[in-house]
Amino acid sequence: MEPMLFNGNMLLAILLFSIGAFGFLWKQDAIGMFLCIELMLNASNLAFVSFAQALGRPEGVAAFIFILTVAAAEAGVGLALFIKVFSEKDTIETDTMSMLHD
Amino acid sequence: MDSNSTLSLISSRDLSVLMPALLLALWAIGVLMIDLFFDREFKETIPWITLVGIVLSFVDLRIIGAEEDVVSYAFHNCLRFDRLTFLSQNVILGMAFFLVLVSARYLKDRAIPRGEYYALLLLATISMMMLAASNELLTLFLNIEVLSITLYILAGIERENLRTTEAAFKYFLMGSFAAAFLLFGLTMVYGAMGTTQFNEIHEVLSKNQPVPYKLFLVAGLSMMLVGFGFKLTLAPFHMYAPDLYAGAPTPVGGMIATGSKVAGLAAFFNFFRLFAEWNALPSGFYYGFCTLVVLSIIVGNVGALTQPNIKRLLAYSGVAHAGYALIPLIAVMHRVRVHGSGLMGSAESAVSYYLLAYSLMTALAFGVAATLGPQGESHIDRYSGLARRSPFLAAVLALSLISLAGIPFTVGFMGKVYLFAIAVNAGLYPLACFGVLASVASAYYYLRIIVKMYMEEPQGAKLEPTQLEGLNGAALIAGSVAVVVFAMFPIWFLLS
Amino acid sequence: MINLIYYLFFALTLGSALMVVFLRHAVYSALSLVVTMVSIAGIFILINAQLAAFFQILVYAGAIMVLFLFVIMLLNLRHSPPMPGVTRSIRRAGAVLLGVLLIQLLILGVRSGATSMIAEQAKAATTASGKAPEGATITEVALILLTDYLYAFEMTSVLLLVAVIGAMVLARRSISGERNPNLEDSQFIRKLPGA
Repeated sequence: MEPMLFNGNMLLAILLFSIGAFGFLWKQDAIGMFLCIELMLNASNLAFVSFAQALGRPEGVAAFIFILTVAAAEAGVGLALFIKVFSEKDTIETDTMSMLHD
Repeated sequence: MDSNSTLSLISSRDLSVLMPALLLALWAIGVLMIDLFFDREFKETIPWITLVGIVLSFVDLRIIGAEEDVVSYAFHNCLRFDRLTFLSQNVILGMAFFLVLVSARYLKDRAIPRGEYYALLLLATISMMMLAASNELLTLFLNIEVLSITLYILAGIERENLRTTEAAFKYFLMGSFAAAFLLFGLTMVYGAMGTTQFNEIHEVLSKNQPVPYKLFLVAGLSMMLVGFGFKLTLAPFHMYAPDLYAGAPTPVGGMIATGSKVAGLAAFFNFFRLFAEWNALPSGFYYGFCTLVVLSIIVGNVGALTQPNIKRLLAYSGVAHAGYALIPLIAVMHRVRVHGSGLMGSAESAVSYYLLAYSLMTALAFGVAATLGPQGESHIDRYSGLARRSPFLAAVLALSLISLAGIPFTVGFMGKVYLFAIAVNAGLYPLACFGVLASVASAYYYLRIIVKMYMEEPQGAKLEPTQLEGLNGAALIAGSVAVVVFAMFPIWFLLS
Repeated sequence: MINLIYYLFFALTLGSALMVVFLRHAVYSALSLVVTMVSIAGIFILINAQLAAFFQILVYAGAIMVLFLFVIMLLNLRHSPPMPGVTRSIRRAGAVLLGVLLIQLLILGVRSGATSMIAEQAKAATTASGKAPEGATITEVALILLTDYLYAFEMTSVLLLVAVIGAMVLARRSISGERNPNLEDSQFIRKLPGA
C-alpha cells in the first residue's frame, strides 16, 4: 500500500473521529447525536482496516465485520429505545425533561 | 495467516472452560421458549427455572476449578482463565442468583415482561463472565458491547414509565459515546502493537525494546481509559451514574452496580497489567491514572454526602469504591517504576477479594431497596423508622451500610484492609492515608441512614412479614451472613 | 491517477462528515452520513480491502442507515426535542475543547512521524511480496473468523440475539390492559381515558 494512502487514512480517521466527537456534544437533537456516534465508529473501522493492511496483518477485515455487527446491534437497540421514548411521551403528559432531576 | 497453520476449530478444553457460559446461553433460549409456548400459570415458574440454570452454571464452574498460578487459555488465546477470572466469575454468578431472587417480586408489581427480562439477565451474565476472561482486544470489545447493549435494554424495559425510559436512553447515548472512544483507543493500540492478542502484546513488551509508535500507544491507552472509565464509573466519567441508578429498575441498577463493575474491573486489570508490568507507560499516563483514582474517591464521597436519594447515593458510593478498587493497580505500577517488578500476585488477590466484598454489600443494599417497592426507591426520608415497620429489612440494610463504611468485622472492612496494605507495601503512604481518611469520612453518610431508620418516627404503613416473599427474604439473609462470614474467613475465600 | 481518486474520496468523506454535524434537519444529516460511508467504502477499495467495501455498502449504508431513515421518518423528527441535562453553552464549549484536543493528537502524530514510520513499513510489506498483503480476501477472512477469532464470531450471535430481543421488547406497543400499576402518582398526569 502506498505510504501516502496510509498517512491519508490515519489523518482521515482521526479527523472523522474528532468531527464525530465534536458533533456529539454540539448537536441538540438526540438522533443527530446518534449519527455522530456512527461517524466515530466508522472512523475506527477505517483506522483498523488501514492499520491491518499497512502492517500486513490478516485480521483487518475480520475486525471490521465484528465492529460492523456491534454497530448494527447498537443501532437497532438505540432506535428501539428512541421509539419507546417518543411513544411514551405521546401518551403521558408531563414536564418531560425535568423529571430526571429530582 | 500462513499456509502452514492447521485448521483447528475447537478443542475439548476450549469447550470445557466455556461450558458455564454455554449452559446459561442455552438456558436463556429455554426461558424464551417457555415464555413463548406455555400459558400464564406455567410462566410463574420462569424465575425458578432461571435460578436452576444459574446454579448449574455455578456448579460447573466449581468443577472446572482453578488453582493458584495456573493459567489456561482457550480459543486460540482469546480467553484466559486464571484465579482472578475464576473468582470474578464466581462473584458474577452469585450476584446473578441474588438479583434473580430479588427481581421476582419487583417484576410482579410493574409492567415488565418476564420472559425477556430473565433471558436478558442470563445473557448479560454470560457477557460478564466472558468479559472477565477476555484476553484479546476484539473479544474485549465484543464482550463489553454485548453487556452494554443488554443493560441498555434492561434499563429501559419497564413499560409506560417515561422516567425509566429516558434514563435508559441517556445511558444508551453516553454509553455508545464511551464505547466509541474505547474502540478507537483499541484500534490505536492495535496499530502500535501490531496485534490484538494480549499474549503477543506481552511478548513484544517483554523484549524490552522501545515500543514502536509510542504516540499511538499512549493515545490509544488514554482513549481506552476514557471508555473504561465510563463503564467503571470513574470520575470524571461517572456523571451518568446517579441518573441511571435512580431511573433504572432497582434490580437492574443492582446488576449494573455489581456484576458489570466486577467484570469491567477484571477486564481493566487484565488489560492494563500488561503495560504496568513492563513499565511501558509514560509518567504522564501514570500520574493521570492516579489522578483519576483519587478524583473518583473524592467525587464519590463528596457526592454522596448531600444526596437525599438512596439510589443516587449508592451510585456515588460506587464511584468511590471503583477508585478504591484500582489502588492495587497503582501500587503495581509504582512498584514497577521504582523496583522493576513485583506485587502482581498480591494485587490480584486484593482486587478479587475487593470485588467480592463490594458486590456483596452493594447488592444487599439494592436488594433491600428493591424489596421495599416504590417507597424504597427514592428519598431517604422514606426510610425513617424502618426499624419499626420492618425490623428485618432495616437490619439487613444496616449491615450492608456498615460494611460499605468499612467498619470492622465486615467484608467491607477486610477488603479495605487488603487494599491499603498493598498500597503501604508499595510505599504509597500518602495514598493509603488518603484512602483511610476518605473511608472514615464516608461513614457519615452511611450511618446517617442507619440513624434515620432506627431513631426517627416511621413513615408509611407497617410492612407485614408476609409481604416479604420467602425467597426474597432468604436471599437477603444469605447475603447478610455472607457479609460477615467472608470477613472472618477471607483466606478460605481466596483459596477455595 | 490513484492519488487523484484518493484526494477526491478524502475530500468527499470529510465534507459529508462536516455536513452530518452542521445540517440541522435529521434526514439531511442521515443522508450525509450515507455519503460518508459510501466514500469510505471507496477508500477501502483503494487500499485493496474490497470485502470491507462491500460489507460497508451492503450492511452499513444499506441496512443500518436505512433503519435510521425509517425511524426518522416514522417519528417525523424534523423538530426533535433537545436532549436534557447539561446546558447548551457548556456542551458547545465542551465540543470545541474536545475537537481541539483531538486535532492536537493529529498534529502530534504527523510531527512525530509516527504515521510515516508505519507507512514506510506498509510500503516495505508491499514491495517485498510483490502484491498486497493477505487477509482481505474472502477465503482469508473466513479462515480467520473460524479459527483465530472463533469465540468472537460466536459471541456476535449472542449479540444479535440480544439485539433482536431488545428491539422487540422495547418498541412494541403495550398490550391493552397491561398498564403499569406502580407509578408514583405525583409524577404523571395521564391523558388516556380510564387510566
